[in-house]
Amino acid sequence: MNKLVRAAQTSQSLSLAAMEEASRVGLREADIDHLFLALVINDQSAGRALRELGIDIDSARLAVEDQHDAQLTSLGIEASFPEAGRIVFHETDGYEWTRRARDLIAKSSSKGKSGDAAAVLRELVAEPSGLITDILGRLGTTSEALIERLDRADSPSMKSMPLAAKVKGRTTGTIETFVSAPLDDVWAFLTDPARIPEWEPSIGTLDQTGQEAMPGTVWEGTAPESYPDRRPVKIKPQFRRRSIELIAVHQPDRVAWSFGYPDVARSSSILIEFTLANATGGTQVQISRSWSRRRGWRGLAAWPLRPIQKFLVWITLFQTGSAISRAFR
Amino acid sequence: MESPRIATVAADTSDPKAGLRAVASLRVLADTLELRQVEAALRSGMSWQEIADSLGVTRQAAHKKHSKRIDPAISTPRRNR
Repeated sequence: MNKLVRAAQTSQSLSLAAMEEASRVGLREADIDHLFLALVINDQSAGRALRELGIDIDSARLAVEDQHDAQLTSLGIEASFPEAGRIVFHETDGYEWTRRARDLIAKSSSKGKSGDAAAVLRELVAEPSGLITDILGRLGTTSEALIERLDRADSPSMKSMPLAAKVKGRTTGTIETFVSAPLDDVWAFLTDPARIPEWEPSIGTLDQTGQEAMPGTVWEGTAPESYPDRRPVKIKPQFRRRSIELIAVHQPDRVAWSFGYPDVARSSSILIEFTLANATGGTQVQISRSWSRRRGWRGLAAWPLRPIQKFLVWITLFQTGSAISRAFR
Repeated sequence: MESPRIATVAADTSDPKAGLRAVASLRVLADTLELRQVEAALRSGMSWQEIADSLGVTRQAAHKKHSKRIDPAISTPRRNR
């Protein structure tokens, strides 16, 4: 994969996770400690290296908190940070990186560096303030141990670009995401129709959630009326009603859902498949999204727009992936 | 925060590197508390002008820094209040 694309995707996913972490402690500016937390739940080799050292999101959050509290105490100030709440990033606005965090990410994709999450982690453990070194110390490890593990594990692992898997007449995109929860919990979440609105942004509500979830079961739903930050969604009336079908369930690791527009003639439904795999400290989830291409001249007219379409597919997959990750944090 | 300890320990400058980093933590704590207090002020019906006056900054500065960051469930006062 092209380095520019890889660096952009890495930066996008780390930014989201770091700002989500900042949001739960009441901050709107993400710093290097939030970047560290984002790396702990990253799906690439950097995240795996951290998790193989026994670091999970809970212990990492605690170490960051303890470090700040200890620093305040060293000043003689007996105060602690307000207790963290839930992630409110998607409901609020005005987020940014601190200068040093932004520079650090930029440096990781500079000349001679790969721009993936491992490159960001290497920059991070070398940051000059010593904050990250101390946090690693609280987690029972050292920068050297981490770098050694990165060197061993560093193989090209990014495959989150939605171009592969060519099925005739269908457009497909695939992404991988790491969820810090056991496979059974992620399975229960992804097979529960009532929780679909949490990971599929185009579904607002779902009826008859009491129905047994079997392949072929269809639910009726509606598109959301407002965004998470409460702005109203403008939508054409024929796109308001949604149908949701459970296509396949292969316990314990594969499930597929399909989403359609019952009021739109000749609309093609979107198929979303999840494949789960056990991973150190949680579950690796592969998400793929596909739909049939338009036939005739309209399909041809869309041809020059393919790169944009690929990007949009990636964004949609990324939203679903990060929503699942968020549900378990 | 009027503990007599503060003066003695905070005045300890024997390890300036650790001290400086601790000051950075203190700034982060201040930022966290500022946003919380601004949200609480808006919820209690205070205007941006009143908030700015209490913070000791201009209304524009307070609005620019916080208007996007606050919980969108808070109905914020109109411009001229």
